[in-house]
Formats: sequence, structure tokens, C-alpha cells
Amino acid sequence: MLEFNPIIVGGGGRSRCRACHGSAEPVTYRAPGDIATRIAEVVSASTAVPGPNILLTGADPFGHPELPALVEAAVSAGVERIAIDTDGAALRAGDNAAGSLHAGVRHYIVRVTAADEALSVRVTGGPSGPAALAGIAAVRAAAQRLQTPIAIEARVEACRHTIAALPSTVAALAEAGADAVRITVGDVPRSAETSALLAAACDTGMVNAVWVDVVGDTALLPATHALHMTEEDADALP
Amino acid sequence: MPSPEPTRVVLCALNSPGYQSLALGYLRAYAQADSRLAGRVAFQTLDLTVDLDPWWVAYRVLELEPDVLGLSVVCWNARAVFEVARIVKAARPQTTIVLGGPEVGPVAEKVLAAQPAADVVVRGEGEATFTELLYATTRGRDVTRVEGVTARGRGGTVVSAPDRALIADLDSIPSPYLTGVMTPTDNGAYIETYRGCPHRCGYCFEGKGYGRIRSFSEGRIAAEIDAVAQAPGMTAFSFIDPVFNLTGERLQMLARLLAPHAARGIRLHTVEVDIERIDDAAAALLARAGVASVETGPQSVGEAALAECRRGFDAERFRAGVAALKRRGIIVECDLIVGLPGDAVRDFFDGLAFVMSLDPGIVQTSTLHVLPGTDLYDRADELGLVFDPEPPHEIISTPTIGYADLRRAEVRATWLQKRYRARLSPGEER
Repeated sequence: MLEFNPIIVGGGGRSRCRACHGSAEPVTYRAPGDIATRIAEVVSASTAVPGPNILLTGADPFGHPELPALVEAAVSAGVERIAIDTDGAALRAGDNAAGSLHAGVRHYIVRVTAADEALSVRVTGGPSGPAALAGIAAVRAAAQRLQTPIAIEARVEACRHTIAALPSTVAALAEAGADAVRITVGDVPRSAETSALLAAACDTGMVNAVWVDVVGDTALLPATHALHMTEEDADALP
Repeated sequence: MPSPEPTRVVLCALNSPGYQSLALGYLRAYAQADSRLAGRVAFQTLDLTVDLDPWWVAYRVLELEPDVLGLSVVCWNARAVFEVARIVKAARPQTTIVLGGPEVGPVAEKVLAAQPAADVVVRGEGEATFTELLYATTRGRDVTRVEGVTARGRGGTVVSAPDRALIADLDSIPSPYLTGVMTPTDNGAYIETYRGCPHRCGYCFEGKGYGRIRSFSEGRIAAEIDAVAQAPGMTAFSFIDPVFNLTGERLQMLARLLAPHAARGIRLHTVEVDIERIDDAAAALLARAGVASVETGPQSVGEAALAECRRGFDAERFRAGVAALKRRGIIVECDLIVGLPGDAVRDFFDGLAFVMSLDPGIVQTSTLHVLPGTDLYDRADELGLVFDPEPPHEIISTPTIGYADLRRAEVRATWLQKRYRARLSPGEER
């Protein structure tokens, strides 16, 4: 219902399950002029209604040294919704949460591998999960303070190393202030237990008024939870 | 010989924050204008908010030591109102508790059976009935004989008097604003220019409750508009008419009356419109009237639900109406209901996709409430609608959507609305 055009600001540096994906590649960023040009191209070509909307993605945009200028370029170009695809940790730092809101960002997609600190360290090599939760809480608090409507969506990749913690991850995301959680089903055991965990993650969202949708191998989700299945992952992140 | 103490009447409403009860204003203005009650009745109005603790509301009521307590009841405040009634009755049994409003009028006998604290229910249009009830009370007469009243008779038996005819001349109801009964508040004041509705939507009480359309006179409407628009500090108010653009002639009249106030910056918010009848000329009239935002359907785009609810929907005309209003800078709030009979979950989200594709400004979804007095309430068994018998009568399941999927649809719709709402607006300060 809402189309976001991805704008690649760089690559690498993403914290994911090392056992499944290996170590993160070194982070690189594109030149701000190239990105601004791309934003202008996308806006001029966009026929999306409502829109135009863009998603700054690739490497974490908060690491880009010219992020304020990029957001300003998007605002000047007439972008209606600016989304940032972030690991979340940067939202805790300095004035990033309120600053990004002031600049015009209204959508936050926060990638989370696991909420639990010990599990997070074990699978990603660092406390990325708790940092992401703290980032979500920071931007939620800033938005409430500024009375600015925002949308926070957490993206969780479920793999065989994190699936058992999925319901508790959704609970922690809800407590932190996420509005929705998208679970991408990766390399998980094809078992009744996996199905039960996916269903429990959806139900955990429901009782916390947080929408959970599931992409990937949705056949693992029980038929009772069919509404949580998203067949086409139109918003797939790079 | 000293005159007897007047009967102390307290009128109480639990409103949405920021709003006043126009219904209580009408009741008081009508009764105060009745010479038979002059000197015999003393009124106090408590315009409170639904978020208050009922025990605190009861405290405020009891401080006034009422002989009669009139409580306005709608589906979303009924639980709190019933609690207030229970506390007040326990603390002051001699207070006669009178309930009125769309939540209780259509099911008056059921309400009195379920709410032992309540003594009387005023059914339907309340002004004349409430005044006659007060007159009977002050004279010590049997209130069960007052037309439009359901009350406990001798031995506690619930008795319903015959219905009361609707007031033929609405101008006979004094204006709460022009009489000083109500002081208009900025953004919270609203005006009623007619009663009744041209539509008969199955989920809505408006059409069935008031029958044919009756209008206040143009002179009365003009006077109320002037009084409200010129109130100190007023920047915006609204109308509660079910269809603001009821006819072309009427829209022209309203635009003419409102234009001088619009020219000095007074705005109208969330007036309800029949959007499929809005073209560029109608949009221009709405803009001239100072309309900043309108509220409209489609409620559903599902053919089966539209048929069950007796609603029409023409997607192209709807789209054209939204576009015409947007060209005039008027924000459109599109409403959708989940849980209508005949709708599957897919229909509801098709509706959401449709309204979002129009980028109207505001998208609002709600869950079906099967309200007493509506067609869906009467046909619930036939349609297989399972709903909470307690107010606000939320739908529990339908033949096409089960309980869990209804709740899922609500949560997903809330998320999608948040996504839509999170945006930069033209000219937004950052």
C-alpha cells in the first residue's frame, strides 16, 4: 500500500548471524552527490500515490558522514516519506534520534538479530540486539516529545541459531516501542517446533498490539496464522 | 408561605476530551423555556470527560445533591455512565436517575432490567419527553404515563409509555448557544442544522433514530453560526449533520452563511459529507464555507457488505470527490469498518488499499459496533453476527471473519495507518 524506493547509500557493515552469513563485509559509502542525484531521479520518475517515498539503505545511513545533507536533499526534492534502514545503535548516540526527526525522517526500519544480549553476542559477535532496542526506545521517546508521528518497523531474520528466541525478541521489540516486526524466515529447521515458535512470535506481537508479518518460507507458519504471511516481499532490504 | 425548594436537576455527560454535550444543552434549554417549570426546577450541567474515574464523577454529582440526575449514554461511555449511576444510587437512593441517548433508548426495558440503579429511560428524541418527565415529577404524578418514557412502576415492574411524536418544528427547541445554556469552545463546539439522515446504513442509528429529515430554519442556523463563530477565541468548530452536503441548495446556503467567518480565518473541521456527490462546484462551496477537513466513507468496498448494509459505492465517483476536495486543499478522512457482514478480511484490506491509493490525508479504521436500534442489531441472528452484548457492543465474529482474524485485522490496520500518517506535510515545520 506504500511504495518506498530504495536509495543505496553504501554497502557492508551489517551485523548478522555470523554462522549463517560469515563476518560482516567492510563498510563503504557512496559519494553524497551521487546519492542526491539518485534521489532526484527517483522523485522525478515516481508516480507512486501516496508518495514519493524513499528508503535510505545499504550500509547503515547513520554512518554516512553526509547523512543530514542527504535527508535535506530528499526533503528539497519533495519526498513525502523518508525511511532509514538502520542497525538501530546509532539512534542512541548524541542527538541522532531527535535530529533525524527534525530533519524529516519519519520511518525507521531497524534490523535486529536477537534481543537477548548473550545470544546477540554469540551470533553477531557483539551486543547489537540490546543496542538496537535502546535505539528504538530513543527514537520513540524523541517522537513522543516532539509529537511527531513516526513508524518503526523491526526486521528480524530468523535462522536456526535465533529461532528459539523469536517470541522473546518480539516481546522486547514491543516493549522498546516498535510498531511492527517483519520476520524473514531463513535457514531454520522444518519442524513443528519452528512452526510453533513462528506462531508464538506472531501471537506475542498481537497481545502487545504490534503487527508481525512473516516472509520467506511462510509454509512453516500454521494455517491459523495465514494473515501474518506476506507472500511478496516488496520491501526486501538489500 | 415560603415557596417550596426547587427540584434540583443535574445533567451529566461524559464526553470525548475537548467536547461538550449538545444533547444536554438542548435538554436544558428546552426545559428552562417551559413556563410550567419556572421556579420549580434548578439545573446544573456537568460536562465531564469519559476518561475520568467514575467515582470522581459521582463525587461531583453528589456534591450537588440532585433530586433528578440525567445521564447521557452512548455506546462508548455507557460502561462508565452505568458505574456512575450505581455509585450515585447507592450513596443517595432518593435521587431519580434518568438515562437517555442512543445506547439506551432503543432497548429501554432491557437497560432497566440490567441496571437497577436507573429509574427512568427517555426513549428517542429527548427534549419534550424530559421536560414532561420533570413536570410530572414536580407535580408528584406517575412518570410511567409520560409519553416516550420507560420507567419502573408500582412493585418495580418496568412499564413503557407510548412513543412520543417527533418535534415537528425544530425551532421550538431553544438554541443552547443563543440562550447562554452553552458557551461555545474553540474546536469543541458543533452545530446541528437538521435531524434525520437520507441514508439507512445498517450499522448506523442516525437514520432509524430520527426518521424523516427535519430542519432548523435558515434564520436559526444563521444565528447559531454567528454566535459560535464570533465566540471569543474561536478558530474552528464543526457540524454534526450526518451529511453536510445534503442538497446543493443547502450547501449553497451554508456556504453563504459561513463565508464571512471563513474570510476572517474561521475553519470547519471534520464535517461529514457524501463524497460521491462532490464535484468541483461543491468543493468550491465547501472551501468558501471554510471547511478544512471532511469525513466520509466508504466504510467498505466489498459488494456483499455494501448490500447487507444498504450502502452504495461508486469507486470512480468516490475518487473524483476526493480529488476535487484535495484540489481545494481540503483534507479528507476516509473511514473503513472491519467486521461488516459479508466482508472477508481481504475485502477490508482491499478497502484500505483503495483509500490509501487516493492519498486523502487521513485514513481511519474502526471495528464494527452492533449498536442497539440499528438494522444490524435487529438482524444480528439472521446475519450470524456475534457481538458483545455489553457496550460498546464490539463485533466478536462474523460468518466470514473469526475472532482471531478480526483482532489481527485491527492490529495490522493500525500499523498501516501509522505508516500512512508518518509523513512530511507541505509546509511542515521541522
